Amino acid sequence: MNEFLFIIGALITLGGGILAVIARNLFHAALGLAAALAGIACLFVPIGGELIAVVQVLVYLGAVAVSIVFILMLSPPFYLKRAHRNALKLSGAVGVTLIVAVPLFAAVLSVKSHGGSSDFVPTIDQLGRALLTEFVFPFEIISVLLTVAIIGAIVIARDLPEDDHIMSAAEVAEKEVKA
Amino acid sequence: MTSLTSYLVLSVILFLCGVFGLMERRNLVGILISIELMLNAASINFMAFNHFLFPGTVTGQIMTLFVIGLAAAEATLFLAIVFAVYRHYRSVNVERVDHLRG
Repeated sequence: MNEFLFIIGALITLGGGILAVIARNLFHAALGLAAALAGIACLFVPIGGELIAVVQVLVYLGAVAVSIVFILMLSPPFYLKRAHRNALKLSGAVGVTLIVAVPLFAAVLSVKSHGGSSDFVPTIDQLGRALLTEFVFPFEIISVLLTVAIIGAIVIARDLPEDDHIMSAAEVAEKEVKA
Repeated sequence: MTSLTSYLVLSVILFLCGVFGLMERRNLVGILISIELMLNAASINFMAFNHFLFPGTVTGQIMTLFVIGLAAAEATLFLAIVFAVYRHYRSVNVERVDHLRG
């Protein structure tokens, strides 16, 4: 059962990941990303990450992937303008990828493999306790970060028309002097 | 089949997909998609190392939760920036958004 889940998850993840970077239409790339995220959730199940798999589907697939699709739908259809492939840029990207690939594969293949011998699956209770005792500081930082990100996103993305410009005290005083 | 090496090889391939996309895409949303792939490769690594090398602990799983939270915050801000950049430049091609070029 675990092997079946791994193989299915690996195939979906690799297919989705390759589609996400190869597709010329960005909408297809977003769908490839969604497939890859679902495949990764599938991969987490055989290694004792049932809860993380659920969180992955809820947050990544339900929020991040959907918000990427949303921006493609809400914005002018720039994803339909297919960028022509630039041979120089393409070969540069392949070169950089290969340069990164060599040390990564060397490192991965030098790791001693341990066959999945443990059946330990952490319960929600254990994860919650760890989150609120040992990791409470990073947990709070993430909470603050998310709040700041929401406020920052609203501030950056809001579109103030010119006549809605909120005058500062100095500008108000200057206007009164002119009047 | 479900061994540490197979998980690590899978995550390296996913990470390389992300690197390739990051270098090759010229659209900001395409770059965001590549970054998400790389973050996910990192969380696969955290989960696999936790399960195969340190069974009985939850540190790797907690780190994966933090990665997911960070990615959510990052995606929110990135999409807001994409909207702002599009409004300003009428384009999301990173080669046309070069106001800060020295």
